[in-house]
Amino acid sequence: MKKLIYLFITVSFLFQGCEKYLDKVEESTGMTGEDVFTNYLRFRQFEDRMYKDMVDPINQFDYTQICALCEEGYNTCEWETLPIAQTGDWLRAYNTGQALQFYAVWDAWQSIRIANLSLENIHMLEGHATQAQINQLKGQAHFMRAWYYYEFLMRQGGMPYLTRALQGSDNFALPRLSYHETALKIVADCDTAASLLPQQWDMANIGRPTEGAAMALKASTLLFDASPTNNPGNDAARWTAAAEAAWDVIELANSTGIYELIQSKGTDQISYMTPGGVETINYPSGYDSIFMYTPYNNEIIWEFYERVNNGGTHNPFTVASLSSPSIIQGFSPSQNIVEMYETTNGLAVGDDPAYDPQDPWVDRDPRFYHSILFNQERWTSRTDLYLELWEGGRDRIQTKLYYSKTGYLARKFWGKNVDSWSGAPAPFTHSIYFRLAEMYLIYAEAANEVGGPNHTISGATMSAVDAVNEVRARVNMPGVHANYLASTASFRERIKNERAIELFLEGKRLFDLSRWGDAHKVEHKAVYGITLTEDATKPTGYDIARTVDPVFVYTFEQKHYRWPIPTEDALMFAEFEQNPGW
Amino acid sequence: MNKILKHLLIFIALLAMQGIVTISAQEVQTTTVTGQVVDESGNPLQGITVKSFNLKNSVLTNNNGEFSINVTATEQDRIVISEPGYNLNILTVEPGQSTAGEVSMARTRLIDPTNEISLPYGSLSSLSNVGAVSVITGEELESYPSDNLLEALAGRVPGMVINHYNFMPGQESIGVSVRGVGAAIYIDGIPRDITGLSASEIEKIEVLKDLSGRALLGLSGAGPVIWITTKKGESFNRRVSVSAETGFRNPVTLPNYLDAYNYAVLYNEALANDGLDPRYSQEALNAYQNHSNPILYPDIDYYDEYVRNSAPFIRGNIDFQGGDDRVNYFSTFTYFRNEGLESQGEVIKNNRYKLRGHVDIRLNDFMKLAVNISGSYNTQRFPNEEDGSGVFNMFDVFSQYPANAHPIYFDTVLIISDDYPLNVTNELNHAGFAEGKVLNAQNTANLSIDLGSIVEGLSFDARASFDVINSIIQRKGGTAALYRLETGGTGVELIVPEENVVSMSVGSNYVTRRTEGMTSLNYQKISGQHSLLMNAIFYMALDETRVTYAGYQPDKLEDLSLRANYNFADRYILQADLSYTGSMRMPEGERFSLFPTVGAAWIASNEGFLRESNLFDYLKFHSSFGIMGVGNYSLEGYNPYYLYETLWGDEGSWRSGVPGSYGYWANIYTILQNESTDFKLPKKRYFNIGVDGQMLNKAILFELNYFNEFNYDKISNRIYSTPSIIGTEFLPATNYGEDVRWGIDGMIKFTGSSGHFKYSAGVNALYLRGKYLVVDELPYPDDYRQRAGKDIDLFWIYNDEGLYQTEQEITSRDVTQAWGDVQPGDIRYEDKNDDGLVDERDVYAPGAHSPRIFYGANISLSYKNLSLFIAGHGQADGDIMLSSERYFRINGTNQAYSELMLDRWPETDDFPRLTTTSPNNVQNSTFWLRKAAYFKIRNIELSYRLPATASRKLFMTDSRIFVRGTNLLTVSGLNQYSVDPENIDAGITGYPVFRTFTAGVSFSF
Repeated sequence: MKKLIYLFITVSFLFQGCEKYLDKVEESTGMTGEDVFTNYLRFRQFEDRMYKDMVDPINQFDYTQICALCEEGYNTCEWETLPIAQTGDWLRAYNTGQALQFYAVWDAWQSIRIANLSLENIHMLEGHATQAQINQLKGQAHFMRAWYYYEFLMRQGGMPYLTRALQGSDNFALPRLSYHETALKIVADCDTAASLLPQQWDMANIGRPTEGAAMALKASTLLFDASPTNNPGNDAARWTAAAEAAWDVIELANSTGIYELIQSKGTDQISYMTPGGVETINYPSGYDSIFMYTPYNNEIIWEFYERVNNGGTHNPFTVASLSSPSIIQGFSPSQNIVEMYETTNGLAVGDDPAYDPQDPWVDRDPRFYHSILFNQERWTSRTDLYLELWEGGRDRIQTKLYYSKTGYLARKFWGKNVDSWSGAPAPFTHSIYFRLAEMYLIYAEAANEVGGPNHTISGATMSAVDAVNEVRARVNMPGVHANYLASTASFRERIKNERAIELFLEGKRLFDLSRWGDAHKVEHKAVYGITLTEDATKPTGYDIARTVDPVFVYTFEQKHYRWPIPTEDALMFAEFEQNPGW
Repeated sequence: MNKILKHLLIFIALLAMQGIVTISAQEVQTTTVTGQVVDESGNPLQGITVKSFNLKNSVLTNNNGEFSINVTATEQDRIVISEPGYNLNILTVEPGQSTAGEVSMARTRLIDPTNEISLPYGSLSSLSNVGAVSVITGEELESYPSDNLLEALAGRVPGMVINHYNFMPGQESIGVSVRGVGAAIYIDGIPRDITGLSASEIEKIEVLKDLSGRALLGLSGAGPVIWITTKKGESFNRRVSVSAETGFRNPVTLPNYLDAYNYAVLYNEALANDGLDPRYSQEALNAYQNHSNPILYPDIDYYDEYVRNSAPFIRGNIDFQGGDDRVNYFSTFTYFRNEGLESQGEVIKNNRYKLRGHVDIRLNDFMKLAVNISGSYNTQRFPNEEDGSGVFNMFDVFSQYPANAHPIYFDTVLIISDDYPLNVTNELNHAGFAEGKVLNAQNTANLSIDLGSIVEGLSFDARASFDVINSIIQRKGGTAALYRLETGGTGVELIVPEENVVSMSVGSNYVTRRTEGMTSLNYQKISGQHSLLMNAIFYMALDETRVTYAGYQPDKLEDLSLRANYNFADRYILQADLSYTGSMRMPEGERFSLFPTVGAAWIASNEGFLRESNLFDYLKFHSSFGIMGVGNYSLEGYNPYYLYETLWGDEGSWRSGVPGSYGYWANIYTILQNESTDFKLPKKRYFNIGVDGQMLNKAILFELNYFNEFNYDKISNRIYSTPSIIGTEFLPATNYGEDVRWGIDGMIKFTGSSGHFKYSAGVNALYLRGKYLVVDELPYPDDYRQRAGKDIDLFWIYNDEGLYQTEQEITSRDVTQAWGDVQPGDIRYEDKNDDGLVDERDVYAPGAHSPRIFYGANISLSYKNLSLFIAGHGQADGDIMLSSERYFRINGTNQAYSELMLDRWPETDDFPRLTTTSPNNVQNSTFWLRKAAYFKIRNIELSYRLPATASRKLFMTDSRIFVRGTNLLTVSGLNQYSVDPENIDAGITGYPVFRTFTAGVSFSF
């Protein structure tokens, strides 16, 4: 028996030496965190992951349809969000994993983590990179953290503001900050970023956030924070802060010349068919070059980065068919918006006695011709082809995808002569988050709230109405008509109108309507088109009338002012509260 | 590889020679020995074969069971008395001995206390076993004509369930679970692929259902184990056995699809329901009906055109076995062939050649060597799948192409269309073929050393094995020219030009190999009424596959295990197993853990008070309890080998700048996986208690077990309890999750006889339950959405409230269903949370569940030389989902319509209205549940054994002729849909279930 025990003991000893046998054959990829964080290029590439969760404001199939969630128009592409927009059950978008514009941004927590990991580990790069390089990396991390919180803020509102990467063992039950608290955190990150980021990048890095981008983001954040929905006490200090921040950007533009409003130069012409023959309209050109053609221009402050470096040849609102002898399009602007374009007299169509609703295409704000295509207009490279936008016309087939539902097509972002007949490729197209024109409009809106149309914020050199006029002047529109400058309230309505047409289809309208508290109003939910009845006695050859029934009615109730938080997250911890009504 | 095969052939041929060729031509002196053969009750047995070993002559017993046979007179000889159904008797005859006396033949019993139970790394007498082990012999499975032994096991072992996934010849895939958990298959102690193993090679199969039997396998023994022992030769029993059968196979059932006319009518109806214009004009409908223009209006019955009625099946094998007191051998050669159902062009062909040789050599007084080598060579030929992804599966096409998809020919050219881009005639005749060759070699050598000279009762075993599977698929593509019919059907337009491929290309090529070594020290001591058996095992294995994919790791195993089994007076048994087992997935220093299992048994029938009763011949109560780690866990998105490491990688590439002024291309470095610092091996606790017994003079045999498996510390990254704000998809692994499975399994078997009539009948059954205890899930406010505390086998679906019958019903109900507007004829779903909207939040478990009862039954009847064997199996108490969107839930455009659609609403309420757009009706709901219960007559064999005298005239000791069949009858509610309840997609997306008929002979000499 003793021998037996010895034997077992011997075997056990032999066994002890064998644990190494279970070593893995190869150790992962061989790279460690240290390898990444002590090398400038690798660090930068790690950090650049944080640009991945940016959403493209004019991507046809997801985020762009922000513009199709309000009265800007109706989307006719294969759009899975449609039933959700109709029922207003936005929470369902998360549950089904569809409707990208509702949940895409939520993934940005991953980018926030990358930004935080970068800031936590940037010390490891000391000695392996220049101070300028380190500042750039830090500045970008602060900016992008602010950027994603801004995206959340516009949608769901306040969030816990994470400044480090959470670990599995951390307490996740973090309470949501208030809207205002979150806005201030974003602003603080913007300030830090602005102090670290360059004013301009070299060509090989163009598109990365700059000092100006951080300042613009700050201005926009403060505007949201000051707006009625989010500033129920109407704290005037918030409006002042917004106006000052916007003015800082304008001043940066004026002092350095790096940003400017692209001015109209020369004349463009459109033609359209009437019973009396082809009519032409001349209008100032140049406005469209903010959005297309060149890889960069001085009006853009911050845009969708991936579009920049992908070369962004992309046709967001048009699908010019290469095989079908017709024009197909995925977006139908609404009559609601068309009616907002003033006449060249600077009056709203309803206020201008010269305006003839049966001859509505003439003498309109030049931005109308840059943004909207109407019935019997010639737009394609085919000189003999005029848009047939009456009901049943070639370009308006109610039952088919990509055809107009309203009697209009979108021209903004549609390059000239880009169609199947010319074979011309789509031009470089920008997806802009902030451009200088909006900074003037932010300034104007905030200054008007502080002191009325003629108020000038201290330190600034321009009144609210001057700022709006600056934006109008570059498309040769007269200044805001005196009729509209009687009060803060009447001017406020014109600023809202100005934003609607200047920033049409740029992904702003839904959020503007939301912050103003206007989005639930029926005039912003019901999308109308026009009926066109052939009538040779009318100037256009058609009797034009607003459709009796809306083409589409969006659901927007009180609860939609704060988007829902995905159920999973809302249920997990009581502290992480769901927004009211969801 | 071919070299190995050649050597194997020579080796086996040599063994065979030894068996057949007479060794000696010398004159030997002979003498006669007499004796009598009786059965257990002392009745004489007539016609029993009695052989003398040295002289190789044989005689039969007479009416009184008496025999008289010549043996060698000058040297020791052996008399071998064998009879199917009885244990073999080998008597030693010393020189000068003239009588063998009365020889009692005991019936072979599957379960008998004296049988040896082969457990991993050591055998026990059945009496000393404390675990739940079911045994079945290879012989019992021989009646099942198939290439895959697992098929034959369906319904034969209590607790075991066989699942069929693919029936395509050569691609068959079958899963086996025991008590609801997937089982590992070990052949001769090594985890091995069972493909090609034939029943004739198998001595017995033991199913190790609880931990006590398999604890010595360490982590590998966490799940159920099917422990297969192949045959070896018996000393002094020389035998050559031949068995051959041939027959045919045909589909048990095929799905039914509509002809062109009915399809077109129904498709128009679907469009009309959707408010769309009809696709087929009245003229077209007429043409479909009267077949006036088969080019423009074709009506093709694919099953008629391409599926033949039956496919041949051939199986044959020959074994040689024998040996003396120094060398024993067993060798076998099997040939197998089956074919597919294609009626033209490339027909699936599957051939297998299988060789096995097992030699035991007594090297000297204390050393024995055993070598077991098996090689199978499988050649397959298939119609080529055009895209190179696999085998062209014509059934997959038939269930998608309506009868009017396109004509096969226009004049002499082959036709395809935009919506239906395949032409099956082309695929079978002009698209090439794929050729697969699989070589599977399994080699084991075992050296046993008796160390009795050091310590009495001590022995040592060393085993090494080396298995290789090499598979090569070569393919040749090509296509005939394919044309599209021009509008009007008067001409054609070339779409795909003809392509002739001259050379073969490699489709896939992989090698897997497993190398393992095992040493064990065994100690046995019997003193008085005490008997102690101890084993200590050291085991190492390495599994490698030659494929390249990210994160590939060869798998390594290393275990040290101990077993002690103590038996007191054959009445009380205690067993303890300790496994010190390693996992290469754990960080260094934490790789090994110790897991104990204990068991006890009480043989009540050996107690005095029962011994005197005639009721129980044998009655044993046994129980075991153990804990074991689970080594083969997985965590979605993670490499399970690296859980404790942070893995870095790159994710796509990226560059900054604008066109013309780009920065450089760079990879984005990213964390692929975060390290997990707080996790350990998941574990299970297994409890089993049971009773085995024999009653009424061995007429009744039974076993009954209760089991309870508690899984805990499951690996989870708790994605449902970690909020998005953490900002990473790679959440560290931790131990979270518990579930319990429990159930009862058992069997009972009656055996009896009356004159020449003998019978036995047995049934076995499993009742299986499972419940989630702790689940990583969202804290839903509604209790009905929580899984914790609910059964594992529930269906989580919408609850249907029948079909909407009228518009008025829809309006008055005023509940929106999430898939758009509904119409009469659409499924109405319960709005579980009463929010006026049916959506994901209304999915719950309305109570339906998968089957919980699985059973098998078999009957053997014999009258004189005629025998009938019938085996069946089934399931009950549960539901099955009619899931196929190609057969039951037809929806969408360009789809074939099954004949079931004739019963759509409003014709009947069996199927919802037809639609091409609305996904409302394809959701998983109770509407699509049917009773899953079925019973199948799985296997019948009718055989006639030639009388012994007749066999002898043919120089045979035993010969039989038989006819066999499989899948002969199915009783199921699903029969009305022409689908098989075991796999309701068979015949729709893949090959149908086969019914097999064969006839054959088997004989030995």
